[in-house]
Amino acid sequence: MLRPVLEWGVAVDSKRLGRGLFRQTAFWFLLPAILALVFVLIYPISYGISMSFTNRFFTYANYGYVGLQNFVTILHDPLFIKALANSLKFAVYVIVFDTLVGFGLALLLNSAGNHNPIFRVIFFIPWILPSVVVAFAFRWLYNDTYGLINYLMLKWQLLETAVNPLARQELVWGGIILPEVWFSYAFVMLVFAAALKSINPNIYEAARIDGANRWQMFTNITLPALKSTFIMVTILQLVWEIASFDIIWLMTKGGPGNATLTLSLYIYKLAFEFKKTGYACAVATSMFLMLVVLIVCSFMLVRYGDRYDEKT
Amino acid sequence: MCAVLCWSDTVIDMMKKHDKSLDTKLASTSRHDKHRSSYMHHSLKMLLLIGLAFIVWLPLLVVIFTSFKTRAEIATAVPTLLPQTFTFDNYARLFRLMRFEVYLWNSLLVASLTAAISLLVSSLAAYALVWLRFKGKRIFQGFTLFVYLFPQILLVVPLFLMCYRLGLLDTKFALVLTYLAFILPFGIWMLKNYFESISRTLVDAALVDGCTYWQCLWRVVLPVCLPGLATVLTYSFILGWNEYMFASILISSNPSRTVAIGVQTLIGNHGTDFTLLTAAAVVMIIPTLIFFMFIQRWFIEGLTLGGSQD
Repeated sequence: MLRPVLEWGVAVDSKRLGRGLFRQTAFWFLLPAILALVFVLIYPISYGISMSFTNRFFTYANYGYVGLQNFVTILHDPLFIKALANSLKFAVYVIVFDTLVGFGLALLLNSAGNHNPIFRVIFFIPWILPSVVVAFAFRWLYNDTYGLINYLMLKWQLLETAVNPLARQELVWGGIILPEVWFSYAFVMLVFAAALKSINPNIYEAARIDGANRWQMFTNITLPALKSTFIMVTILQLVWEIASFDIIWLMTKGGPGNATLTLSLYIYKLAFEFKKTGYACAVATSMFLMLVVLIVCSFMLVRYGDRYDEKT
Repeated sequence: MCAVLCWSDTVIDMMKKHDKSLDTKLASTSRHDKHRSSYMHHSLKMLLLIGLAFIVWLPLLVVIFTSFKTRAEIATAVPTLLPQTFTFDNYARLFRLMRFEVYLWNSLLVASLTAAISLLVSSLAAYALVWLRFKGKRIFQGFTLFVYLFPQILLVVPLFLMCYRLGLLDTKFALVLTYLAFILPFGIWMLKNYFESISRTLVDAALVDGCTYWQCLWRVVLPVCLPGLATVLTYSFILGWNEYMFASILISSNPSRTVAIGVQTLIGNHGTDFTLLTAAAVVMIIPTLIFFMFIQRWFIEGLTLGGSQD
C-alpha cells in the first residue's frame, strides 16, 4: 500500500529500485554539471590561487614559486590601495543610485495598473543591451564637438565651453556612474516590482479603512515588507559592482591618469598590458578573499537580523 | 516577513473592531468625486511614466537615429534627434568595409551553443537537486549559489592561461566553455526554484505510473516548466551574444571575432566614424531585441521568480 504522503517521490522508489541505484541516478543527472563546474570554475580558481604565489611573466613556462612575495608587494602597492578605494567608491555610488531609480520606478510601475507590463518592458530594455553599445552610446553623447549633452548644456548656458567629461578628473566619476546606473537599474526595478506585487493588498485596504494616509502606509507597510529584498539586492549588487569591468574599461580605460582605476581594471591591466600574470593572480586572490569575507559577513548579519526580528 | 504578518494580524483585528465606523466612512465618500480625482491622478502618472520612458530611451534613440544620418550631417554644430536626410549607406558600408557578417555568424554560433548546452546541463542538475536524494546535496546547492555571486574578472587570468596551455586560444570553443562557467550556476539556481514551484504530486504520480526518472523529467517536468526554460535559454543567449571581456582576451584574429569585439574595433584612437559605429551597434542590438520581445513575459517573470526567492 502506498503511503498517503509521497515525500519527494522517495516512498515509491525505495521499494522499486533499492537504495544503491538512487545515488547512481542522481550521479548521472549531476555528472555533466559537475564536470563543467570542475573544469571551468573549480580548477581555474585553484589554478589562479596557485599562480598568485609565482613570479610568472605572461604565458612563459619558466617561472618559480616566490612564496608570499606578491602579497607583501600588494600591501605596499599604492595603485592597489587606490584601485580598492575606487572600486568601493564606484560600488557605493552605483548601488545608491540604482536603488533610488529602481525602487522609484518599481513603485511607479506598481501603481500604474494595467499599463504596467508595457512600461515594465520599456524600462527593462537597457539591461539586455550589450555593454559595448552602452559604453559607446554614452561616449557619443558626451562627445565635446558633436555630442548632444554638450550641445544642450551650451544652449541652456550651463557651460561656457564644451567639455568631454571622460577627460576631466572632476567629471569622470559622474561620466562612468551614469551609464552604469542606466545599464543596471533594471534588475533592481524588476526585483522590487515583484516584491511589491507580493504584498497582500488586503493589508493596504485595512490600513486605509483605519484612516492611514499614503505616507503612513508606505512607511509602515511597504518598507517593512521589502526589508529582506533591500538587503538581498544590496548584497548582490555590492559583489557585482565592486567587480564591475566592461563599462569603466570601455569608457575610460582607468583614466584620466588612473583616476578611475578599479580593482578589476587593475587585474586586467596587470595581466594583459604589463604581462605580470603572477602578480595579477595575487591581486585577484586578495580580491577574492575580500569578497568572500564580505559575503559571509553580510549573510551572517542577515541571519542575526532575522533572529533579532523573531525575538521582538 | 514575520513583522509584516504580525502587523497584518493586528490590522485585521482592528478592522473587526472598527466594523461599524467602516460602513459610515465608505458611505460618506461620494463615488463621483473619487472617480474624477483618480482619473486626474492616473493621467498625471501616465504622463510622468511616458516622460521617464523618453529620458531612459534617449541614449538608445540617439544611437538608432545617428545610424541613419549621413557623415556630413553628424559633423554639423547643431545636432538633431531625427536625421535630416535618411540614409542606409552606413549599414551598406558596415558589410562592405568590415567583415561584419562573419562576426555576426561567430556570435550566433557561440551564443546558441552556450544556450543549448547550459539549458541541457542545468535542467538535469536542477532536476537531481529537487527530486533526487544524494549525499552532499546541500554542499552542491551552497556551492552553486556561491559561484553565482562569483565575479568573472577573477577567472580571466587563469582561464586565459588554461586556454593557452590547451591550445584553445582564438577558438569559439574557448568562449563557449568560459560562458558556461557563469551561466551554469545561474541556470541551475533558476531552474531549481522553478522546479520547486511545481506540484510534487504531479511528479509523484508520474513515478507511480512507472515513469523512469529520465522520462519523468522529459515528459512531465520540462513541459510544465517552459517559462523557466525560456528564461535560461534567453538569458544565456543574450549573455553569449553580448559578452565583451572574455571575447576581448581569448579572441585575437579577425575571422574569429564576435560582434562585441567587431563593434569595439570601430572605435579609433584618433577619429571615430560614429555613423558606422552606431550602425554596428544597431545591428548588434536587433537579434537580442527580437529574441527578447518574443519571450519577454516569460523572461521577466522567470527572472523575478529566481531573484525574489532567497
